[in-house]
This record gives sequence, structure tokens and C-alpha cells, in this order.
Amino acid sequence: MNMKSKLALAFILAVFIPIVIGIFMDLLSTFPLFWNNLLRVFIGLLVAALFAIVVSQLLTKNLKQLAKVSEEVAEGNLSGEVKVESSDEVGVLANSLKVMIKNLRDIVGQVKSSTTLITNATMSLSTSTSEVLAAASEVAANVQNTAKGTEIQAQTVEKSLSLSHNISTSSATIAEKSKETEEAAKDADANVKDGSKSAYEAHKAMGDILKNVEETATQVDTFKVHSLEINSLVEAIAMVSHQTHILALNATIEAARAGEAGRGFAVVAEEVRRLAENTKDLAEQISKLALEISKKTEDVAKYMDSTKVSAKNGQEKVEAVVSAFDTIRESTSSTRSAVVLISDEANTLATIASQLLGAMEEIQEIATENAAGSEEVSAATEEITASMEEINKEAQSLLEESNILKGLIEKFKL
Amino acid sequence: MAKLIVLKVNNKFIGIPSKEVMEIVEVQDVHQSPFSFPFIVGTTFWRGAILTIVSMSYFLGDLEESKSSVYVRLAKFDNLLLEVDSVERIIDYNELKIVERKEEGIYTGLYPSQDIFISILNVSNFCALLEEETISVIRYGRAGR
Repeated sequence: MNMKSKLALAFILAVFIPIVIGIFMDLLSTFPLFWNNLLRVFIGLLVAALFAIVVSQLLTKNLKQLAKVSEEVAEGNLSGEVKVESSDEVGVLANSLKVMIKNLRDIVGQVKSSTTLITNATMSLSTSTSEVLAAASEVAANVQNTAKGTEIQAQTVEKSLSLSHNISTSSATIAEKSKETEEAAKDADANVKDGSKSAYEAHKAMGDILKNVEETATQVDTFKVHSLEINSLVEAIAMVSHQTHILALNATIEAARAGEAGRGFAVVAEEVRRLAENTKDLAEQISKLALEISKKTEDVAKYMDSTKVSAKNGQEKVEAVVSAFDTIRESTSSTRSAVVLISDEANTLATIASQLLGAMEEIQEIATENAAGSEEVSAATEEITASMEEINKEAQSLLEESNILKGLIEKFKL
Repeated sequence: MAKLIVLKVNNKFIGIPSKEVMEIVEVQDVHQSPFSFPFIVGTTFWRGAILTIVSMSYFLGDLEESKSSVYVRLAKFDNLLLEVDSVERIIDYNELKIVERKEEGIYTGLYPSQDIFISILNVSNFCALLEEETISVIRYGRAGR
């Protein structure tokens, strides 16, 4: 109800109420005075009260609406609207309240938006710091491993340096020994040549020996045959002797039978018998000798066969030796060439080993520096990790505060 | 002077007077006769005659087979050859030196010579014994010894 409506209402009441009161007074004049007066006082109070109520209602209605909106604002509800259209002080207050609510709405909306952004940013920050912290921990662990690895590397490099020293020394020794070996191979080559020449000569000599042995074996075989022939002849002589002996016995018997006339014949027969016995003895001796010779000849033949086999084996062995010497000569020549190569390579190896030693010394210095640097990096990483932990803690606190703020802002209704 | 032919049979020295001996024979080809008399060694062909070889060792109590090739041909029984191991020698012989003389048996007695005693063979008794043995085998199918 605007002001004009209110004034119209007040005018109507001012006009209508005295009329109603006049009418009512006329009516009251019919009552006794006491009651007439009392009733007039009562009606007057009633009219005054109604009037006061109406006026007060007209005057406080806008204020009540403003109060209601203010209460809503106080509770955080900024969605309420001020519906007071008035140009008096209440209207000014209502306008001001409207502007204030609008400004508050803008501010709270902006704060809410910002709070959301901050919360999101804080969450991202917290997540990022956690990730960074995890990464920093891994980096720290890796850096520690790297530091340990660097330390082991430094120790290994030290060992390698020691080994390089040994290699260098050994390479120098090898080079020296290779030189000596080269000289020895040269001597061996010369000796092998001499040996090969001797082996060839031995082979030739063994061939001659074998030839002579074969010739001797042939002669021994002939001798054996002759020996057998002698034995046969001796057996024949023994047979003749035996028969002569029998003949002599028979002659003696005949002489004895002839009596005195056969005495001379008996003497002759006896002599013949003796000769036969002597011949028999000699034949037996010759036979024994021939047998002995035959046995010896057989033995000699066996020895000759054995010698022949041995000579043949010897010739084969010498042939093998000659062949071996040829092989050895080739091998020695190859060995000598190889030893020369080895000597050259050993010299190169000694030079390389010396260079390797220098390089290893440099590597050792670098490894030492790396070890020190790794230790520093490890310490710095630990510090970074500690800082990241602090940041993470702060981000967590910030997130918590942001959430609180968000909760507060959420109370406002736009 | 008489001679004594000293033989060796089974390591025993047997002497036969030279007048009882025709000759000493040495032959290689002896033909054995199966199912013959046990004292017959075999037969041989000698100077146009077939001679029977008798084993002396059989009569001396040795049944081992001899492998000798020397035989004594007797003068009285010239178709016989006595198989002996060997003819050792021929020595001078004097009958008066015979000891332990006896008339029976195949030995006349013992004749000392150097360091040995030679049993003198009684050729007649030996041949008689041979005949008895032959008859015994013919009659009884076995030798009498």
C-alpha cells in the first residue's frame, strides 16, 4: 500500500468514523447519563485504539518487511527481495538494503567462486606436492643408490687401476719374454733343421742297415741250409761208421772163426773197428757240433728275423721321426712367425696397457669427484625432500582452511 | 784165440762165443706178423733169405717192446736173428774162466771181464727153449712162460 492509499484510507476513516460516532451518540442519548458517559468514554477509547492500531499497522508494515529481509540476510539467505516502494525514510532504507543485498550477493558469489578455485588449487597443490614428495623420495633413493654406485665405482676403478698396473707390468714382462721366446724359437728352428738333417741321415743309415740285415739274413738262411746239409752228411758218415763198425765186428767174428789163420785179419778187423768207433765218435762230435751250429744258426736266423723286424721298425720309426721333424720344422717356422707376431703384439699391448693405466688414473680421479658430487647431491636431495614435506604439510593445512572457508561460503544462498 | 761177443739186452750183458755167431746184422725193414708168437718180433729179408727175428728180451723176462735194429744171426740156426739192444764189444774168451758153470738153462755161466760179469748164453739150450715155447703156443694156444 503506497502512501496515497494510506492517506485515502485515513481520510475515509476520519470522515466516516465521526459520522458513525454521531449516529452512535444519538443512539446513546436514549440511555441514562452514567451509562451514557461511560459508554462514550469506552467508545472513544475503542476508536482511539482502532485508530492507533490502523496507523501503527500502516507505519510498521514496510519496516517489518525490511526486518524480515534483514533477518534472512543475517541468516545468509541473500536471495530475498526487498519489495518496499516508498519514497520516505523507509523507502530509502529499503533501497539501501536492496543495494547492500545486491552487493553482498556479488561479493559472496565472487568469494564462493574464489573459494572453489582456491580449494581446487590447494587440492592440486597438495596432490602435486605429494607427487613431488614421492618423486623427491625416489630421487633421494636413486641419488643414494647412485652415491653408493659411485662409491663402488670408485672402489672398482681403484681395483681396476691396480689390475691395470699388473697388466702393464705383465705386458712388459710378456714383451720381454716374447723377445726371449723369439730367440729361443730361432734356436729351436736351427736345431730342428739339424735334427731333420740327422734324421734323414739316420733314415738312410737305417735303410743300409736293413739292407745289410736282409743280406745277412739271406746268408744265414744259406748257412742254415749248409748246416743242415752238414748234419745230413754227418749222419751219413755216422751211418757209414756204424756199418763199418758192424762190418768190423763181423770181420772179427770171421777172423775168430778162421782160427790161427785169421789172427792177422783179426788184428786188421780190430783196427777197422777202432777206426769205425773213432769215426763214429768224431761223427757224433761233428753231429753235435753241427746240431749246435744248426741251433745257433736257427737262433741267429731268429735274431736276424727279429733284427730285421727291429730294423724295419727302426726304419719306420726313423721315417716317422723324419716326418715328425718335417712337421716340427713347419710348426717351428709357424711358431717362430707367431712368436714374432706375439712379440710385436706384446709390445703394442705394453703400450696400450700403459695408456690404459693413464686412462684408469684419470677415471679414478673422475670417479672420486663423482663420489663427492653424488654425496653432495644426496645431501641436497634430502634437503629438498624435507622442504617438500614442509610444503606438503602447508598445502594440507591450506586445503583444510580452504575447506572450512568453502563450508562457510556454502551457507550463503544466492 | 776164441772171442766172446758181448751184447747188451735190457741193461744186461749177454755173451755169445764167436763160433756160435754167423754175423751181426743191422736191418731197418722189419715186417711185423700179427697174431704171431709173442717172442717173434717179425721177419726181414736179408741177403736173399727170409729171417725170423726173435726177441731176446722176452726170454730175459722183459715184455717191453725193443726198438733196436741190431740183430745177431746164429751159426747153427741161420734162419733166426736175435734182437739185441747193442753189440758192446768183442773180447778174448777163455772158457776156463767161466764161473758158476751149469749145464741146464739158457746160461752156461758167468764170465768176468774187467769190472763186469757177462752171462754166457747157451745157444743150444736157448734154441731148445725156443722150440718148446713154439710147441707150447701151437698146442695150448699160449706160451709156456
